Amino acid sequence: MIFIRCKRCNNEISSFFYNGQRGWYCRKCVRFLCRSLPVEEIKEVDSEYHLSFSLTERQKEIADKLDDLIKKQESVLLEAVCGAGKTEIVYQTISSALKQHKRVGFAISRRQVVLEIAQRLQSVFTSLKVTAVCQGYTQQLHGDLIVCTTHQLYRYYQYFDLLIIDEPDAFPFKGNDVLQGIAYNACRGQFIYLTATPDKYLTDEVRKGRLKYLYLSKRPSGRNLPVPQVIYQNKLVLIMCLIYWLKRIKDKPILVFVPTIKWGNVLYLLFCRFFNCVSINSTSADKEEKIEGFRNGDYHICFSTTVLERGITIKNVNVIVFLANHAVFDEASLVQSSGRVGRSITDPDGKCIFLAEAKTAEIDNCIKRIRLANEN
Amino acid sequence: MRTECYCLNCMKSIRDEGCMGEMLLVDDVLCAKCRYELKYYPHKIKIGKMKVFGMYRYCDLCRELLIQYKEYKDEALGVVFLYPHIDMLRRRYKDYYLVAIPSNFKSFLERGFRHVETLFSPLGLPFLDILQNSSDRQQKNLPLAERKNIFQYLHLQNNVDLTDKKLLLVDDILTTGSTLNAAYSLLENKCKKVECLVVAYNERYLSDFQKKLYGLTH
Repeated sequence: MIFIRCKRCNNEISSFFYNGQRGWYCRKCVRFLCRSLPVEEIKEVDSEYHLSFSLTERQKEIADKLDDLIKKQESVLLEAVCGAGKTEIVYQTISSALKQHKRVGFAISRRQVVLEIAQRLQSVFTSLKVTAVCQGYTQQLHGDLIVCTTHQLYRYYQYFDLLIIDEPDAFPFKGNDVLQGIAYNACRGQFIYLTATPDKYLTDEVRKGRLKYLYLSKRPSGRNLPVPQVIYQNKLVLIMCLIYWLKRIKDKPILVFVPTIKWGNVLYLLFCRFFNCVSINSTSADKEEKIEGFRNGDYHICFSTTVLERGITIKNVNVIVFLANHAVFDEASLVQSSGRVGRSITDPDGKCIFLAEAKTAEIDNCIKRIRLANEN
Repeated sequence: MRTECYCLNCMKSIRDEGCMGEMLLVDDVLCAKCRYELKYYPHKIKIGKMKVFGMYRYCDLCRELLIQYKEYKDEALGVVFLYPHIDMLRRRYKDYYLVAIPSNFKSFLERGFRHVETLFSPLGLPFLDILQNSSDRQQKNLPLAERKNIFQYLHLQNNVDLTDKKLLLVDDILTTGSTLNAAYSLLENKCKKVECLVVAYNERYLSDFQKKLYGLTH
């Protein structure tokens, strides 16, 4: 029995290795062509940051704790409810790590969010060079602070001293051995996982003591999270409920999550005559323009599959999850989609409605989790 | 029987998909689902005097596999295309000599292995290394009009005796057929017989009826 392990993705199953004319290689990560990045000297950088608002006391406390733990060389899982300002909490840690001449990376599983976060970080760390690396933006690889998709981490082998992974429970990072192995190999120092819904792997790591755990249950506005209102009916009545709510909420944008692309198209065809609406899914060509239009208020209603469930902030939006009992919506994605509501401090109100055909454990767990966060 | 068999494309266990018979009597390197997606439609194509036997339609999965094999240098995939049909091909081309269309030297250096030869090596036929490609640009990057210039760059080695030999010209993808045509016209008069075999052929070579049959027109 030979023992063999891939340096890039930590794969150990010998069936996935192949001995070709150029020697052994790992077939699992063969698509990530190996180009080793020349390591640059770490420059002296001015890592001061300027926030246009101040953090609340709870946030400040957590940020200090996080900074301490990272200085003690510990990896951290930071669980915070949606819209609690996870990114803002990390700023202090980034700043102090850069002061110690460490390389800092910010990895996100979705391309859309990379560009948004890179802009946000650039506006806060004005004197730093923030580089966004994702599909379409791969010319520039060096920078003081690197924001990239989890796919692009293969370019940085043993490069980072501090790697922040945002939403490790999101597709495609969740359950993907190759991406997890690559992320593990990209960093030689500490990890920070930011999430609202930690999965079993992360909670197990916490229990084993490999990860330290921090929890933030309140949003900066101090209000409770909106608890979703669940309506159980058959499909026809659910569509009528949908019409009722769409007619009732007139002056605020409504985000309707649908389980499949087909349902999105069907509902769009049904409603496009009577409402000002748009349909977004992973295959639509001009996704960015549609989202921008929805954000600016050009459209009243947006039918979306789960592509929009994470990392998107739209002012005073209301959320309806259509067919919430569908297998696509697990607990994490239900929590995330209800977390789109009431994110801005100025207008923390909003409705969240689940339209379901049947009771499922996922819906119950989601409501339980939100109630638990509200009690703390 | 091998204990652990994984599909070379989707990396799942080979017995995961497919009907009962396929699960019990599986002898393949792809799982039933991937094998179904890889559209095997043998087709005889006539380009001028040349007759080409194409095996697969150049569908999405076929393109993906060939790209992973050629560009990402995943040599394990070389066996995927010929594996289920190897007996038929061996019978049909029994005493032929294989002549592979050469890639230009630059891309060969970059790739590190001869991809067409590796693709057809399961046939067990002797190779003749008689063609040379001196072009410095890849055929796929050229516009359609310029592809015909490949005539200038393909050379035949003079000192080889080809009389009384049956040759099988092989290539991976048939797009315009200009490379294959150039090689064919070089070899045509010097040997007994030349046949052509390609792994994937472009879908425009299908007749209208076939396109309708395979659901390609909407």
